[in-house]
Amino acid sequence: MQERVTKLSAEENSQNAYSATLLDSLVDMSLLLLIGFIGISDGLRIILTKTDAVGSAPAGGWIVLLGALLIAGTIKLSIKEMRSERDTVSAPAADNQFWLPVVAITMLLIYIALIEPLGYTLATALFMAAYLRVFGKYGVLTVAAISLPFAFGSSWLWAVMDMMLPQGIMPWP
Amino acid sequence: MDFFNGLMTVLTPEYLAYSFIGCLLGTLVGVLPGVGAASAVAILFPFVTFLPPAGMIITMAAIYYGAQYGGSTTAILVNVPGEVSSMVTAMDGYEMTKQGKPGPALAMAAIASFLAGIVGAIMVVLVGPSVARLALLFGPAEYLGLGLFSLTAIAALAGSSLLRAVLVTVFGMIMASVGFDESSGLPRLTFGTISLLQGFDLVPVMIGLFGVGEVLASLREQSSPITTRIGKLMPNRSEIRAGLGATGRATGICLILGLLPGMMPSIGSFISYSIERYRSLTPQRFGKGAIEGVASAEAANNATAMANLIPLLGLGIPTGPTMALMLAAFTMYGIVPGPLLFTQQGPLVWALIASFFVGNVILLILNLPLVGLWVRLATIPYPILAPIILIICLVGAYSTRNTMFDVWTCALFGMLGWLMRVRGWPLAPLVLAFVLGPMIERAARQVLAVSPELLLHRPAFWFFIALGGFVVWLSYRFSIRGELTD
Repeated sequence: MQERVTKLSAEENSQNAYSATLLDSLVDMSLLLLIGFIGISDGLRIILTKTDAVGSAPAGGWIVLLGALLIAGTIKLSIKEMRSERDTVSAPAADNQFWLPVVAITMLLIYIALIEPLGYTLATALFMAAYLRVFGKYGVLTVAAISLPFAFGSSWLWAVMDMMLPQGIMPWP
Repeated sequence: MDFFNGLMTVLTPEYLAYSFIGCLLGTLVGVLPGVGAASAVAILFPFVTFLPPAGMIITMAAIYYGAQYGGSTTAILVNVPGEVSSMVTAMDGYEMTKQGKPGPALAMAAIASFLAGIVGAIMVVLVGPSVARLALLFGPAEYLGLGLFSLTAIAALAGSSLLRAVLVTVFGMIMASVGFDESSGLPRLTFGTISLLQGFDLVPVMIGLFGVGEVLASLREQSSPITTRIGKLMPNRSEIRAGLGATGRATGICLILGLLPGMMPSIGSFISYSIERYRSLTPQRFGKGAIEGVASAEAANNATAMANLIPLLGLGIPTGPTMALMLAAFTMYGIVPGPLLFTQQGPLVWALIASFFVGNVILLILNLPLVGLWVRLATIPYPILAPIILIICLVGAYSTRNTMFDVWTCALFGMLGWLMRVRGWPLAPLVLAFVLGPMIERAARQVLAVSPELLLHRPAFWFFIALGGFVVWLSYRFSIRGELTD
């Protein structure tokens, strides 16, 4: 009975792993197909609507060609990977670190959005502070001791190197 | 005579300072876990653009080989390679560290890199001008063939699947097409937005893929603290003899292989290591602390990197992401690498080539005594390093054209780079396609404008197509594909 349960679990794991990798592949392939279709449609737009412009046909034709290659290659890869995954997939290892980059990306995007309104110095201080708290789990004093000098020091350095970064609400540097 | 004039130029205090700063910065960034040579060049590139042309290019070259050395330091000491090519070094280098011999491993890595770099620089001096003279005979058909061969070669050698690499290549060419078409002036793939009219700039794309993307990918790894003391630095006589033999063989092989587009230092390292193990009478030592493993990997690295410069300088064809950045550096100053470079910009080119010799000497002198410092840098906790690297990447991206669009581009390609790494898509073909795509399109349109029958009368075109097919066969026959980030 125990053996049957173990065997069923292994089969379920394998099936789940197959489904997960199939889903991953489908997402990748869908994105590539979308890009291919966008390329073809924009290329056709140029060819069909810009007939009075010199060189419109080669300009649009190049994009159509690339889009068609992308679609054809994606379909071929999809078929190939679907056939091979069923035979070779194994249960994926538990991976709870996938969310680390997702959190980092979210913080990064918020930081970029804040650079212009708040200014580089303030936005950088906030980003570093948040990052150190979330990923390093440092105390408030440590976070302040690292993020503030870095934000102000780097602002000064970029100014010395004649890099004009957004000042935002701060009148310095 | 040109070379000696270049050498005299580089030995002036100003240019010595550029080489020194480049080696220092490159090693400093290269020792950071998760940051390889290509990432180091991508991250630091915007910050050297205020230098004069020769200074910037010399500094960038010094950053590149400095970062390669830095990557091998962490690979040997903590088994955290900064890049794929350092992985091979880690296989035996870290084992030597575990056996209490980190000093000889580090010294052998430095000596092998130095010797391969010097021999490689000599080859650039001897072969570079000849390749440039040959390329003067090239027309659109030859450039079309060369471009297609380059992309085919890198697709064949990058990643575990040729078809995936081809799709990434096509995707890269589509990305390169965003913006104004240079011939007709028509906007392509801009969707009516003004920001996209300017297209994607190579520098933010590279910084995103190789800087931001590397950091995001490295968040999943933790480097172990270094507890080993460096101790005695120099290898004994038998280790030196074994290491030098491996260095010579790896250098010879990779100086030839490095001429091929797509033959990046990481592939050269794997090939040389495999050959060294295959020819050894005691192959079981490899992977367990064989000094030949360290020497062959490091020599292969540097030799391939030097050889990569020949297609760049002579033909204007970058063979990998780092060479693509070097190309961007040249074009920023209106200097076009290719057949006319040696004649129109002779002093600058010879100064650059002479700087390879000087830079390798500086690296050897600089890094062995400072290895303790580099080790301490590598132990800085990653939660502190990561945001600093990310901020520097974004500032570098912004400084390219002083526009937030480039910052968003950097972030977007950073996410793309991370996802591609996680999902097993190769990165290098994307960069090469981004750079070579416009050249191939231009050549194809010129051929079509004359007549497609032109191709029938250009044997060089068919030679390059056949060479591309040969490289594809070679990659399948010897299974030398692998994920590359440098």
